[in-house]
Amino acid sequence: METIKNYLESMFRGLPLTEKVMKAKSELLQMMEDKYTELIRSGKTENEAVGEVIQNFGNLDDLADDLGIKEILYQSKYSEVQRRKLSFEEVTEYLDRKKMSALLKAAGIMLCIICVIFPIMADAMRINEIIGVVLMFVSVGIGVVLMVSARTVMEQWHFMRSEPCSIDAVSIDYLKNKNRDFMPSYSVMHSVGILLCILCFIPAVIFDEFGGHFWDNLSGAMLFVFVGLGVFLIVYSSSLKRTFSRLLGINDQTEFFEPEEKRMEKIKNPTIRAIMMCFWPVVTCIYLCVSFLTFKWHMTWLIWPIAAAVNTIIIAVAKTNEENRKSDKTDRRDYRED
Amino acid sequence: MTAISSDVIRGYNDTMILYLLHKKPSYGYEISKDIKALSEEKYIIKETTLYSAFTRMEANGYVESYSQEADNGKRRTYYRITEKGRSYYKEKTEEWNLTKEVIEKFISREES
Repeated sequence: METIKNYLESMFRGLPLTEKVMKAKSELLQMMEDKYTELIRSGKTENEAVGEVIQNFGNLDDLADDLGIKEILYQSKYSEVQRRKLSFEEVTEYLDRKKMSALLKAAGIMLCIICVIFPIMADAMRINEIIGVVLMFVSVGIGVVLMVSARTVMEQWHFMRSEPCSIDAVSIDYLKNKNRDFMPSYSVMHSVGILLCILCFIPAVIFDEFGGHFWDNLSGAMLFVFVGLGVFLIVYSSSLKRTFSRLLGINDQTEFFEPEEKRMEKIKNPTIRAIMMCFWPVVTCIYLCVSFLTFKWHMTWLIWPIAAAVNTIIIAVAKTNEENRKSDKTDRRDYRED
Repeated sequence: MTAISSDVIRGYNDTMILYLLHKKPSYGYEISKDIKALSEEKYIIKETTLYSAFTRMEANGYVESYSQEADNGKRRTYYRITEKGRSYYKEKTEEWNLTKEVIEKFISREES
């Protein structure tokens, strides 16, 4: 029976879920179910029964007019040609990569949130506050590295955001199963995450009873630990959920993002492109070095707005240069033609 | 073995279904089973064809659908014929008699 249901699912895949379509689907399933039950009762094997039911199903084209799906049947056949087909292996690899990327991203964000516990704890234990500050930046640094690598892990899959893709029925069934298995753990992770964020003040309330400098600080630190863990769970679980729904809906996807590389490729000059690629890491590095050497944190933040302005200017200059060169070329061609 | 061309029979699916509904209200699978039995297994109607005939005839007011609990406790969509359906059926039988009469005149009996 499962096979018949899957068969019907695959026939109706990609059709809009209008009332008419839903009704047709359930009526057809009813007929097929009746037939299957009777064939089994008359002593046919499961395979024979399924074979006979599917053989006499007919063709959805028969229903196209009644259901108002004629255009869609035609369209989807037409657009299938242009979509890049993803094999089953590609789908599973994408899923694995995406899992890793989600983990890295969530961990990165968590490190950035909980970084403040190091100075707090250093203060609580009355050790040199420099150690706390250094650890804080190490934590932020690792966090940023994790977030950047979360993107790098997905490097070869960027095309999925910008190119129309399609996956076959086998992959869809596989994804549906995976998605179903994942749903319970998603609910648990998501709700525990939210709970942690809501209950983050609990340690403060409890530790308040003990009083004293150490416990005060510890309760502050615990607040960030709670929020950090909560955000980790929320980010991780929701990016996985998004991945599933994106993949399952990929056959109907109609909106696409401009590929990142193309945005960068608009700047043709290789030197400027190289500069832009390492611009922000370099700025971060400068910021940290200058700040630690001078310890004028109240001043050094100015590096950021300045860097943002410089960034915009470089891109603007590079673009105008390119446009000039392009028009130069066309001018020259005009001359030759003369 | 010659099979029935679906192009030819398409115009008469409605007639067959209405004939069966004439006797008693029925549901999808039962009708397809009866068509198979009455035609001595020479014609098996496809599920999509049958459903498309139902929706079309319901839209034209020849049949009505209603949901009813079957013997096994499941809900099923049953169809029953309307007055309009009865007169349509009558029209179709007359049309078929005429068609048969005409075509018959052009069928050679010599080589059979």
